[in-house]
Amino acid sequence: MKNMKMKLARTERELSQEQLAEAVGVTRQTIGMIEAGKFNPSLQLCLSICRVLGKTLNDLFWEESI
Amino acid sequence: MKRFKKVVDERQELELLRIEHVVFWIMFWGLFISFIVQSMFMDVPFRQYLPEFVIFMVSCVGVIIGSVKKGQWDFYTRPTMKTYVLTSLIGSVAFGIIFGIAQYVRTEFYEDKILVLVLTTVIMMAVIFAAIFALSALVGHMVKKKQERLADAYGDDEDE
Repeated sequence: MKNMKMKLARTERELSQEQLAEAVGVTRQTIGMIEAGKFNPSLQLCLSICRVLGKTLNDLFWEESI
Repeated sequence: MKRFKKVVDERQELELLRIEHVVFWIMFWGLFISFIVQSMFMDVPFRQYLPEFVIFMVSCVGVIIGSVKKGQWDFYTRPTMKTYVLTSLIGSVAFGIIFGIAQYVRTEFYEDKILVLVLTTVIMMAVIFAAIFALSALVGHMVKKKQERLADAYGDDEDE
Protein backbone atom coordinates (compact mmCIF):
# COMPACT_ATOMS: atom_id res chain seq x y z
CA MET A 1 0.00 0.00 0.00
CA LYS A 2 1.33 3.43 -0.95
CA ASN A 3 2.46 5.74 1.84
CA MET A 4 0.86 8.99 0.70
CA LYS A 5 1.19 10.53 4.18
CA MET A 6 4.95 10.35 3.99
CA LYS A 7 5.00 11.72 0.45
CA LEU A 8 2.72 14.58 1.48
CA ALA A 9 4.81 15.39 4.57
CA ARG A 10 7.93 15.42 2.43
CA THR A 11 6.46 17.73 -0.20
CA GLU A 12 5.11 20.02 2.55
CA ARG A 13 8.68 20.39 3.75
CA GLU A 14 9.72 21.06 0.15
CA LEU A 15 12.15 18.17 0.20
CA SER A 16 12.93 16.00 -2.80
CA GLN A 17 13.34 12.25 -2.38
CA GLU A 18 17.06 12.78 -2.88
CA GLN A 19 17.25 15.37 -0.06
CA LEU A 20 15.25 13.23 2.36
CA ALA A 21 17.35 10.21 1.47
CA GLU A 22 20.54 12.13 2.18
CA ALA A 23 19.17 13.43 5.49
CA VAL A 24 18.33 9.96 6.79
CA GLY A 25 21.32 8.19 5.22
CA VAL A 26 19.67 5.95 2.62
CA THR A 27 19.42 5.93 -1.17
CA ARG A 28 16.82 7.78 -3.19
CA GLN A 29 15.45 4.45 -4.43
CA THR A 30 14.76 3.36 -0.84
CA ILE A 31 12.69 6.50 -0.13
CA GLY A 32 10.84 5.99 -3.41
CA MET A 33 10.11 2.36 -2.58
CA ILE A 34 8.85 3.22 0.94
CA GLU A 35 6.47 5.81 -0.53
CA ALA A 36 5.36 3.34 -3.18
CA GLY A 37 4.74 0.70 -0.50
CA LYS A 38 7.34 -1.64 -2.00
CA PHE A 39 9.63 -1.71 1.03
CA ASN A 40 8.94 -1.93 4.76
CA PRO A 41 11.50 0.22 6.59
CA SER A 42 12.93 -0.72 9.98
CA LEU A 43 11.65 1.11 13.05
CA GLN A 44 14.98 2.95 13.23
CA LEU A 45 14.60 4.25 9.68
CA CYS A 46 10.95 5.20 10.33
CA LEU A 47 12.09 7.25 13.35
CA SER A 48 14.80 9.00 11.32
CA ILE A 49 12.27 9.90 8.61
CA CYS A 50 9.82 11.19 11.26
CA ARG A 51 12.55 13.34 12.85
CA VAL A 52 13.53 14.91 9.53
CA LEU A 53 9.93 15.53 8.47
CA GLY A 54 8.88 16.76 11.96
CA LYS A 55 6.14 14.14 12.29
CA THR A 56 5.33 11.29 14.64
CA LEU A 57 5.23 7.61 13.78
CA ASN A 58 1.44 7.79 14.00
CA ASP A 59 1.35 10.66 11.52
CA LEU A 60 3.31 8.80 8.86
CA PHE A 61 3.07 5.09 9.43
CA TRP A 62 -0.22 4.35 11.17
CA GLU A 63 -3.00 3.12 8.95
CA GLU A 64 -6.38 4.43 10.08
CA SER A 65 -9.47 2.45 9.21
CA ILE A 66 -11.91 4.59 7.26
CA MET B 1 0.50 -21.50 -3.78
CA LYS B 2 3.37 -21.54 -1.32
CA ARG B 3 4.73 -25.05 -0.92
CA PHE B 4 6.51 -24.35 2.36
CA LYS B 5 5.11 -22.09 5.03
CA LYS B 6 7.71 -20.18 7.03
CA VAL B 7 7.64 -20.90 10.73
CA VAL B 8 10.14 -18.19 11.74
CA ASP B 9 9.31 -14.62 12.72
CA GLU B 10 11.05 -11.62 11.15
CA ARG B 11 13.82 -11.48 13.80
CA GLN B 12 14.61 -15.16 13.31
CA GLU B 13 14.54 -14.77 9.54
CA LEU B 14 16.98 -11.86 9.70
CA GLU B 15 19.34 -13.80 11.96
CA LEU B 16 19.18 -16.85 9.68
CA LEU B 17 19.96 -14.66 6.66
CA ARG B 18 22.96 -13.16 8.49
CA ILE B 19 24.29 -16.63 9.38
CA GLU B 20 23.83 -17.84 5.81
CA HIS B 21 25.50 -14.70 4.49
CA VAL B 22 28.63 -15.20 6.63
CA VAL B 23 28.83 -18.92 5.91
CA PHE B 24 28.35 -18.35 2.17
CA TRP B 25 31.33 -15.98 2.00
CA ILE B 26 33.52 -18.30 4.10
CA MET B 27 32.65 -21.13 1.69
CA PHE B 28 33.21 -18.88 -1.35
CA TRP B 29 36.69 -17.71 -0.33
CA GLY B 30 37.58 -21.14 1.03
CA LEU B 31 36.81 -22.69 -2.35
CA PHE B 32 38.70 -19.92 -4.13
CA ILE B 33 41.82 -20.47 -1.99
CA SER B 34 41.46 -24.22 -2.51
CA PHE B 35 41.52 -23.74 -6.33
CA ILE B 36 44.57 -21.50 -6.13
CA VAL B 37 46.48 -23.99 -3.95
CA GLN B 38 45.43 -27.02 -6.04
CA SER B 39 46.11 -25.46 -9.43
CA MET B 40 49.22 -23.39 -8.69
CA PHE B 41 51.07 -25.27 -5.97
CA MET B 42 49.92 -28.90 -6.04
CA ASP B 43 49.74 -29.72 -9.75
CA VAL B 44 46.32 -31.28 -9.24
CA PRO B 45 44.69 -32.10 -12.61
CA PHE B 46 41.84 -29.71 -13.44
CA ARG B 47 39.29 -32.51 -13.90
CA GLN B 48 39.85 -33.51 -10.27
CA TYR B 49 38.36 -30.26 -8.94
CA LEU B 50 36.10 -29.55 -11.92
CA PRO B 51 32.79 -30.22 -10.08
CA GLU B 52 33.64 -27.76 -7.26
CA PHE B 53 34.88 -25.28 -9.86
CA VAL B 54 31.57 -25.46 -11.75
CA ILE B 55 29.61 -24.91 -8.51
CA PHE B 56 31.89 -21.98 -7.65
CA MET B 57 31.39 -20.37 -11.07
CA VAL B 58 27.62 -20.91 -10.89
CA SER B 59 27.58 -19.13 -7.50
CA CYS B 60 29.68 -16.27 -8.96
CA VAL B 61 27.27 -15.86 -11.88
CA GLY B 62 24.31 -16.16 -9.50
CA VAL B 63 25.62 -13.37 -7.26
CA ILE B 64 26.26 -11.12 -10.29
CA ILE B 65 22.84 -11.75 -11.88
CA GLY B 66 21.04 -11.29 -8.54
CA SER B 67 22.90 -8.05 -7.80
CA VAL B 68 22.24 -6.61 -11.27
CA LYS B 69 18.54 -7.55 -11.11
CA LYS B 70 18.12 -5.74 -7.79
CA GLY B 71 20.49 -2.85 -8.56
CA GLN B 72 22.86 -3.79 -5.75
CA TRP B 73 26.64 -3.48 -5.81
CA ASP B 74 28.48 -4.15 -2.54
CA PHE B 75 28.31 -3.52 1.23
CA TYR B 76 31.34 -1.24 1.41
CA THR B 77 31.93 0.42 -1.98
CA ARG B 78 30.02 2.15 -4.79
CA PRO B 79 30.27 1.33 -8.50
CA THR B 80 32.73 4.07 -9.46
CA MET B 81 35.86 4.21 -11.61
CA LYS B 82 37.95 4.39 -8.41
CA THR B 83 36.38 1.14 -7.16
CA TYR B 84 36.95 -0.63 -10.50
CA VAL B 85 40.62 0.44 -10.61
CA LEU B 86 41.26 -0.41 -6.94
CA THR B 87 39.56 -3.82 -7.20
CA SER B 88 41.47 -4.66 -10.38
CA LEU B 89 44.73 -3.47 -8.84
CA ILE B 90 44.29 -5.48 -5.62
CA GLY B 91 43.18 -8.57 -7.56
CA SER B 92 45.97 -8.43 -10.11
CA VAL B 93 48.71 -7.69 -7.56
CA ALA B 94 47.52 -10.54 -5.29
CA PHE B 95 47.39 -12.86 -8.30
CA GLY B 96 50.82 -11.69 -9.47
CA ILE B 97 52.45 -12.38 -6.08
CA ILE B 98 50.91 -15.87 -5.83
CA PHE B 99 51.65 -16.66 -9.49
CA GLY B 100 55.26 -15.48 -9.17
CA ILE B 101 55.92 -17.50 -6.01
CA ALA B 102 54.21 -20.60 -7.41
CA GLN B 103 56.17 -20.45 -10.68
CA TYR B 104 59.45 -19.91 -8.85
CA VAL B 105 58.85 -22.79 -6.43
CA ARG B 106 57.51 -25.26 -9.01
CA THR B 107 59.41 -24.50 -12.19
CA GLU B 108 63.17 -25.07 -12.34
CA PHE B 109 63.30 -23.09 -15.59
CA TYR B 110 62.93 -19.80 -13.67
CA GLU B 111 65.60 -20.50 -11.03
CA ASP B 112 68.36 -18.61 -12.90
CA LYS B 113 66.00 -16.52 -15.07
CA ILE B 114 64.39 -14.19 -12.55
CA LEU B 115 63.96 -11.44 -15.16
CA VAL B 116 61.91 -13.77 -17.39
CA LEU B 117 59.79 -14.74 -14.36
CA VAL B 118 59.21 -11.08 -13.48
CA LEU B 119 58.26 -10.28 -17.09
CA THR B 120 55.86 -13.26 -17.29
CA THR B 121 54.29 -12.26 -13.96
CA VAL B 122 53.85 -8.65 -15.08
CA ILE B 123 52.16 -9.79 -18.33
CA MET B 124 49.85 -12.11 -16.35
CA MET B 125 49.06 -9.26 -13.93
CA ALA B 126 48.18 -6.96 -16.83
CA VAL B 127 45.84 -9.60 -18.30
CA ILE B 128 44.18 -10.19 -14.90
CA PHE B 129 43.90 -6.42 -14.30
CA ALA B 130 42.18 -5.94 -17.68
CA ALA B 131 39.82 -8.88 -17.07
CA ILE B 132 38.78 -7.74 -13.57
CA PHE B 133 38.44 -4.13 -14.70
CA ALA B 134 36.30 -5.04 -17.72
CA LEU B 135 34.03 -7.30 -15.67
CA SER B 136 33.60 -4.89 -12.75
CA ALA B 137 33.03 -1.92 -15.07
CA LEU B 138 30.41 -3.89 -17.02
CA VAL B 139 28.60 -5.10 -13.89
CA GLY B 140 28.88 -1.63 -12.31
CA HIS B 141 27.37 -0.05 -15.43
CA MET B 142 24.43 -2.51 -15.38
CA VAL B 143 23.89 -1.97 -11.62
CA LYS B 144 23.83 1.83 -12.07
CA LYS B 145 21.36 1.51 -14.97
CA LYS B 146 19.09 -0.64 -12.77
CA GLN B 147 19.39 1.86 -9.89
CA GLU B 148 18.36 4.66 -12.28
CA ARG B 149 15.38 2.61 -13.48
CA LEU B 150 14.32 1.98 -9.85
CA ALA B 151 14.68 5.68 -8.99
CA ASP B 152 12.57 6.58 -12.05
CA ALA B 153 9.94 3.94 -11.30
CA TYR B 154 9.42 5.12 -7.71
CA GLY B 155 10.54 8.71 -8.16
CA ASP B 156 8.76 11.98 -7.47
CA ASP B 157 7.03 12.03 -10.87
CA GLU B 158 5.77 8.48 -10.61
CA ASP B 159 2.12 9.49 -10.17
CA GLU B 160 2.07 12.23 -12.74
